[in-house]
Amino acid sequence: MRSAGVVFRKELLDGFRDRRAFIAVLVSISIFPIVMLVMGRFAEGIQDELRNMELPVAGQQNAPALVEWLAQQPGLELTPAPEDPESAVRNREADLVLRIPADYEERFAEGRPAEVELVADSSRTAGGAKAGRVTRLLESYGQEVAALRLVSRGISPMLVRPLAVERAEVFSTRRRRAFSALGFIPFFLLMNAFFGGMQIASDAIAGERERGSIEALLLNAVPARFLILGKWAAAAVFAVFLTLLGIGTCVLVLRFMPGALNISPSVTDWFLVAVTAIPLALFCSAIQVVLSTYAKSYKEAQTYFGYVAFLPMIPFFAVTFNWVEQGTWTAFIPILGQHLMILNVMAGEAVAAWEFALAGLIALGAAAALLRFASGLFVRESVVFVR
Amino acid sequence: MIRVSGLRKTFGKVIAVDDVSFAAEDGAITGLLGPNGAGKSTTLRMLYGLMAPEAGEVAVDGVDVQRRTMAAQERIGALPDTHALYPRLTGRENIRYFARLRGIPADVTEGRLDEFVRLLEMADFVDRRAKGYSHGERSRVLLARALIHEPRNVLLDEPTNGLDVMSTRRMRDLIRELRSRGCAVLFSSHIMQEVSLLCDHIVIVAAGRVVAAGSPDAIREAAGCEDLEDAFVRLTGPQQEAA
Repeated sequence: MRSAGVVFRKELLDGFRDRRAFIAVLVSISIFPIVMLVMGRFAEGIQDELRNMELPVAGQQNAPALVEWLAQQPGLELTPAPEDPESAVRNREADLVLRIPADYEERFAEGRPAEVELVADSSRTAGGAKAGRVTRLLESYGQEVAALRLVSRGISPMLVRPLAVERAEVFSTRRRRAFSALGFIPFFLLMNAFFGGMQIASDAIAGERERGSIEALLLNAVPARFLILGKWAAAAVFAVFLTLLGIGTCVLVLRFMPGALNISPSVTDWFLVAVTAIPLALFCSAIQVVLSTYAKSYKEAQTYFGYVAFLPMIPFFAVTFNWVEQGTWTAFIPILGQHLMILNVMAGEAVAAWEFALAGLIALGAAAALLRFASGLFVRESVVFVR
Repeated sequence: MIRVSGLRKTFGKVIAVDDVSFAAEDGAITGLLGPNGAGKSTTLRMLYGLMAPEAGEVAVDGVDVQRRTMAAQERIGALPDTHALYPRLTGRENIRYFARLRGIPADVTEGRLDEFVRLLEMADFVDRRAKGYSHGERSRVLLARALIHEPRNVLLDEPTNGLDVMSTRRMRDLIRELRSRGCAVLFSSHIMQEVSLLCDHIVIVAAGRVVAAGSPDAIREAAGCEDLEDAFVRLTGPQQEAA
């Protein structure tokens, strides 16, 4: 055990002197704030545009009443339409154009549905959102007119509204936000846990093979399990450190960019997030230790990490697209379990103590099994001598 | 002392080491001499317990290497043919790392370190990171690192390979110094002159087999040659052509 400590200290020192490890630190703590900043700006921009939008209308003279009604709507400014609405929208000169045909007034007077055309490009976020707002406005105008027509004929508008649908949403606002926008937080944290120890593991194990220093290292009358344990511990320390840094970044982002997510977890919540993520960081470091032992070189190890990089993404997509229902079983699956637990903590839902304990123990048990396996692998002749 | 009997190792269809037996006595320098690919490194790797022989036994001071690898390794100091240091550590840190792994108390390590720095003239570079070392500088640090626990049995795989004259001399002096302290020194080489200059006992291997063993004089006699190099060529030649 003492020798494991010696290996641990040496690999930490080596890691601190490795510039690549520090670049990894910088990248991993800056990605989340940048993503949130860009996404937040983008979402706010769309909201702003919707709140104060221009609507080019072609054929305004064909429907004076409708045009006047639209002009009274707050945050909507009617402008003259371009010559050719289709090509204007296609060329992004306008987000959308409302076209009122010449026969509008005639059909309206005869009580036939009067057609209006909305030229839009739904592949563009702004275009889609604006078209939605204008469509809703036009529908409510239509309902107003319909109600007036019925009243003028002595019929209560209520008669044509046999149902009144009310939706009682049980999914709390905070939870809904958590599961949409906050899905990034567990994803980001799990990525940190997953990749934090990558540099150290690949350099200390695959790099040791690549340089050929493994042979001399194995001559020191130290059992391989202590060597592997020390190397894993160094990688795990980096992974845990990066995970905690990641949590710190999330705290700062949520505090100083309130518009982006509009949610403020408590100190206890963040503590629970750490309790969830740390065992996973230890487990992920053990995965990297095994992969690095297989790899003949630093680069080969990096390639293997690329193959498993999708692992933290699976829960993200699975949860975002509702592939999995959360249940007792999810706590048994490393990464997925942690992802859901972090989401629930973020969403202010209660997570049982046994779930934390169970998920943590499973991650640690799996890590121990992986390290045991790596120790056997590390002294195989094909590992020590094949370069 | 190291006793080797009936060692055998194959890689697929290639027989790398075949029925190799010899002994390296305490207070003597034993040379494992042979052309490239003769199985010298493979033999040494089985001696320090990183490769498992298919047949045969190795005992270091009576300790079976296969069954009690750790105990045997405690009695061995070895310089493998992969001359690799940790590039981001200084020479001193490289040596200290191995000393700590072996559980040597820090003050003892520092004392020995100072002695090695003086003996191998490493003061100029030992506190620099190993990344920029010349071949000679690297080999001196490697040697100090392999000997920091003062092993009774020293295995050196081609220790003078690629060294300049001064470094080679330093290496030879150190090997003689180890003999005078009573160590069993076993080193491999493909250079006849070096072996004849240093060794008390020579084991010549070719194509995985021992083709001759004995003192330099005995080998000259056995081959019927005045010159040791001629003897070497005569003894190893045919196998090399066959290989």
